[in-house]
Amino acid sequence: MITKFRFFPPGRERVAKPRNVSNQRTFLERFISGPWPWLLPAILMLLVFRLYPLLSQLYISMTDMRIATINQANFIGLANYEFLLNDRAFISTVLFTFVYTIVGVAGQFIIGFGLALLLNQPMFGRLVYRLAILSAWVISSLIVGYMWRLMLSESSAGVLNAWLAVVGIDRVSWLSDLTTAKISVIGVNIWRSVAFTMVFMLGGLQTVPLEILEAAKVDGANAWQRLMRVIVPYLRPLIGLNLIFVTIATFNVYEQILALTGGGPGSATETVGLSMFKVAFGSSIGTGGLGLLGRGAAIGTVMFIITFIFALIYLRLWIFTKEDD
Amino acid sequence: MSKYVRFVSFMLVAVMLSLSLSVAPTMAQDEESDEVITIRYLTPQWASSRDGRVERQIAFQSVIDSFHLTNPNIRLQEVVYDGSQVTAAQEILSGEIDAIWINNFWYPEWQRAGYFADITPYLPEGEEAEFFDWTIEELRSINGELGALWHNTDTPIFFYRSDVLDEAPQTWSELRAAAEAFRADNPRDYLFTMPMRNWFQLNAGMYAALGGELVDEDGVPVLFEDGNREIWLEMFEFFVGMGLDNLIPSEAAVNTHDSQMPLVYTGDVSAFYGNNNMFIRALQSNLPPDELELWEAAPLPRPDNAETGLYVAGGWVIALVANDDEARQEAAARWVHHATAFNANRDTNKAGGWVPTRPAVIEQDPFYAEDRFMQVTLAALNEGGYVRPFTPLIGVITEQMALAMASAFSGEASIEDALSAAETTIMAEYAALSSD
Repeated sequence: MITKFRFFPPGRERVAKPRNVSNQRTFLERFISGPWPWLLPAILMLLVFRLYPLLSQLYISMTDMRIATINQANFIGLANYEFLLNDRAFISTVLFTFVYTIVGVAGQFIIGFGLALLLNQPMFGRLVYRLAILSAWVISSLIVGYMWRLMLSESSAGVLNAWLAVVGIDRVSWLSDLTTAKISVIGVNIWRSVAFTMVFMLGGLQTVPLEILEAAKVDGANAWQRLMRVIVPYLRPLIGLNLIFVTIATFNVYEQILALTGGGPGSATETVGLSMFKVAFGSSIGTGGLGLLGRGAAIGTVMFIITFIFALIYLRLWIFTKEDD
Repeated sequence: MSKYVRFVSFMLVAVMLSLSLSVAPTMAQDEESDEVITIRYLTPQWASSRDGRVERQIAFQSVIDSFHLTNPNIRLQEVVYDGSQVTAAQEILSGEIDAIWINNFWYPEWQRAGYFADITPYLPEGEEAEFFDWTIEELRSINGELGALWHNTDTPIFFYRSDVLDEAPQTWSELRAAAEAFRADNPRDYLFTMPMRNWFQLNAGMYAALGGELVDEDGVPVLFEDGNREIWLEMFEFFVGMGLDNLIPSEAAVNTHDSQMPLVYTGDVSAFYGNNNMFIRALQSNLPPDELELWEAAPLPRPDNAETGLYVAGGWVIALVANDDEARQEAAARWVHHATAFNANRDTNKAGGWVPTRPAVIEQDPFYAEDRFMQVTLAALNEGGYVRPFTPLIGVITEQMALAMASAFSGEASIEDALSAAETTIMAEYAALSSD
């Protein structure tokens, strides 16, 4: 039987007042006493700082706006998008970005969640370990790039090669070989971002009721079964949110790669975010390019659409499942 | 009635008071404008009196002070910006800037768009001859007008350790022979490295020295036409061949001027291609004095079949922003000239570690005359300073040719494929630009 939700218990409903009575509230009064005054600042902020830039970017992506002639933009329709679709270099950049994102997100989540499970156990120096891992997330992404660039250097200054030399392994071209460069940029991103997932999931793990876990234990569930049958389902919305955040952040990375390889060797490690930066602002910092703000905005729109689709998939799969409908 | 009169008289007094208050500053401003003209000069913080380095603060402030002394009717407001092209464009379009310090490769399109005024009428007779001739030629190459004066420049040179090389190689074959000999004796180290991400900036001069052209007179890219393509092939085969034969460290594929320096500091290489200012920016501050003494420099080795080398010159210019106010225009022109005059050119370049654009400064001032690196730079620029053509495509050509070299050097693509990919992109950009 379907019961309707009722705010007031039966028999205590408010009696509707007739219209045009002297004490009827004005529109302003109703507005002030309603939720809108509380929501309005947030809505205005969203409109000004989110919706307007988005629409503005969409418009700029349909112009030939350039830094050099910023006030002489012409409307060119979908020409920028057409250019991108026919640009093999851009397509391979998109493909690498997918690999970078999928491997990166999987790595971040598995290691981050694993660390969260580990550091959720009572152990000596737990706080120190937590802080040590979190420190990677606190450092600016650009600094992380430069730091790892030095550590992965193929010169004698490279720490990793120095360690390998100790055990008799010859220098590895961490950043200049096509395959190892890709592995390196993905690895550095995982190293930095694991901390975010760890903290996020650690917070979630601390909300899992101990009674449920103990009941599962009494029922004979081993550690793996408790994890997969109790903890993961319980944390599913949180895992979904974490994946959304991490995916968006990974997909949009550019400064870390700029510092590490500049997108090289050649364009082997160029991501869509870095490509957008180079196309739009490359001429400004002397790395070449045309300063094509219009095409840069088109790349930005492509990034927005892709991350939006990612977010929708995650929301559907992990947060708003059919059971919630 | 009395209430009405009181109200009218109150309103009259209020209106007169507000009128007099609003007019007073304007009148004062008018009186002031007869005496003092205020001009606004936009400059990056690192080239201003507000830079964190004391020597720059003093140098730039002294130029402003001397300008005020010699031009008591002009007041200069130094406005700093982040040095980015976006900010510079927005500030010029705001109409509130009279002069601006910009990178030379932003100049062509803004000059073409009419953002700058001709400074020639405001210059003393013979003044243009005091600058490197190529600076004036290039700045005039857009429409015949001189919209700016070149403040400082730089050029790539070959740095080497004198205890490893007795003298610098002058040609590519000498460079290769020296690298091979070095590797034979030191299998773990390399003679030299070069930053492939800056490859075009380093080698565009040599391409020109071999007779290569980037664009024709109409601005059409011709760099992949038959003869020019042959030149690229020759250049690519030389450098990629050096990489394949393990004569340059593989890390060079992803290096820039700065990121290659750990190879130098650790002694993994004994020579490198770098901007002339790498001595001040990198070597001086990172090497102990006894090791620093070992470093020498020479002009870049040239291709064997080039009669002389050509060396890419970059740098920053101070442009005169066009405006309708003749008095302000003249005042700003005076400033542009003052900021690039002999004393200012000497002092600010000295403080910044840049190369002055007046050869006389480098020849006469003891600071430059006794600096071996500066004299090498002067020799290179006198032998052949080469400014990349002022075409809107230069950014994309620079980027794509460096990318092609890095791709071929790292083995991502063959030389032919790397050049074809660069050609496709450059021609597509040209087509997109032409259709605007």
